[in-house]
Amino acid sequence: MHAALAEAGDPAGRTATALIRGDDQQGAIERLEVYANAYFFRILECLTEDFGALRHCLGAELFHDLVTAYLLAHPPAHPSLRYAGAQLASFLQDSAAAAPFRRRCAFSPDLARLEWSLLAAFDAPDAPVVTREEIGSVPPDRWEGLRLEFQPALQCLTVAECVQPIRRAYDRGEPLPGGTAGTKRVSVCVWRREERVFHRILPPLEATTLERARAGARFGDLCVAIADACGGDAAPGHAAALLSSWQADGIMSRLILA
Amino acid sequence: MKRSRREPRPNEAPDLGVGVGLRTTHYPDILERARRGELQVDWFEAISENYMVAGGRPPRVLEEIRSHVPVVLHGVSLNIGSTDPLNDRYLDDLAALVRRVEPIWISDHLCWTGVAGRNLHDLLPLPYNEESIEHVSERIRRVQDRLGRRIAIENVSSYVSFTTDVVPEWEFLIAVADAADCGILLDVNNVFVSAHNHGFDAETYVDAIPAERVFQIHLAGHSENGALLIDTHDHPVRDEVFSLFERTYRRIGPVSTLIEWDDRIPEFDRLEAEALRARAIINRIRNTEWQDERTERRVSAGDDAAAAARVDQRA
Repeated sequence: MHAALAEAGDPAGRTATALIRGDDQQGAIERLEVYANAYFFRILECLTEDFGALRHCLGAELFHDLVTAYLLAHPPAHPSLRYAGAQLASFLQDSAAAAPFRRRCAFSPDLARLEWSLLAAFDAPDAPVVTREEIGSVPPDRWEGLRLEFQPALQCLTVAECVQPIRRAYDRGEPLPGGTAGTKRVSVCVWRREERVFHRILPPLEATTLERARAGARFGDLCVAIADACGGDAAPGHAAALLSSWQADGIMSRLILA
Repeated sequence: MKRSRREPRPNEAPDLGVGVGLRTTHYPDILERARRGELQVDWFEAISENYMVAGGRPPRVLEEIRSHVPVVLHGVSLNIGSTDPLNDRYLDDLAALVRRVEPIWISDHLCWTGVAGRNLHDLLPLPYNEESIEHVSERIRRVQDRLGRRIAIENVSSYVSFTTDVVPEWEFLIAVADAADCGILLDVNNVFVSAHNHGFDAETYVDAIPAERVFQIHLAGHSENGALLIDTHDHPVRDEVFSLFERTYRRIGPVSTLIEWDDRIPEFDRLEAEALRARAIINRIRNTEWQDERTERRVSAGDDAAAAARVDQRA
């Protein structure tokens, strides 16, 4: 770094040593190095906190190298350090410079995406939570046209199957399960209830139903789709169970009666 | 030494007493003590950027804390010294936060934090010359116009100085504040650190700062890194810094004082203990050297203003 700083200069062609004053205490370049080191380690510390499970999977040394490569490609532009890792998942997914990290940990882009979504849920806009009483007060003839509105913090991701259990173990301070390069992918939803962020794997039927509901489908149409998937007799029970589960999780913010 | 008269103090910056920087890790302790009326600190300083978010825990906690004690906002990314245009989006977000939080005052740093659209997330010093004074003061005036109020700018710790410097740092700070007609957040630890790193006299610096511009004082811990001192905010305030603070406070008069601790953050009890050290110094000055003035209720003018600020925030 010393050599790079010594060669650095301003647009007018003045070198760092021509611009920065050194003295007996410390030379100009050594003084500049204080800032250069602080820049990297401040962001490393921030990303270590934001991507704790990813760092654990890659190991501290490789994570350090990942942050170095990432910062060369995506130096921070946002006024808040909170957004320093905004493009880490896409960098891991798409960049040729990220190939060594994908080789070590094939699911690393997915894990980064999940961890970033936790941060997004943490400070997403607040919204009210639908109560059991509200659900109970929907008149029978209004159920078919009922639409559901969801928390702004709610996100649904499709990721490698191993990713959510890894982050769950990390959250609980448990040993992390081994990740695999398997091809099976699952839906994971992330949301916040009051001040806590949650995540869980969605069974396939719940994932497709939630996707439809978030897209604005009427409750009657959701029931038809559930009946197509699992048979007409089971559909009402499935639909009621999903609604109850979404209410208990606190992911719905409003019932919209037609 | 008994002083019978001191310089006037800025109206918009009442003496709030001794506060600490608001950090996430202390939220539970602060809320519990505030609800019981057992907080030993008088006010909090919140980092603006941490609350420029849509929702969730930080804004909710800040809202509750400000219902108990005064809060000020302290930014780290105004980037007032940069040659990039002022960031309109950032200023919009800051203005919205100010409307929501209604801080007693707003501050940021006399530095640049990025250029060419990049943010280095550090507080980088400026060349101390006429060109910088004009550049920065004009930008501060625009920010103040945008926010509809004066802001305070803080002197930063620095590890480099420039061959194009023509005035000492304190003259630069004063010239900028005068030209922009803004307040000064005097960080006494930063004065101490920079004095060591650049070989100037810290007492000369603090003695030069005009009391009528000082909104607030910062105190923090620092570390040693070879020949340089680094403003790490990860240690208790050094005795030498408290001594410099005592000298500063004695000259400036009753002024809001705040302890910053940002890394290797201790339990809230430890942070409060640090604040109590500062308060003990203040009380010693007030109870001895300013005793005559207390009788004349000159010192308590700041107390009255602080009380009024608390009432306003609860309203």
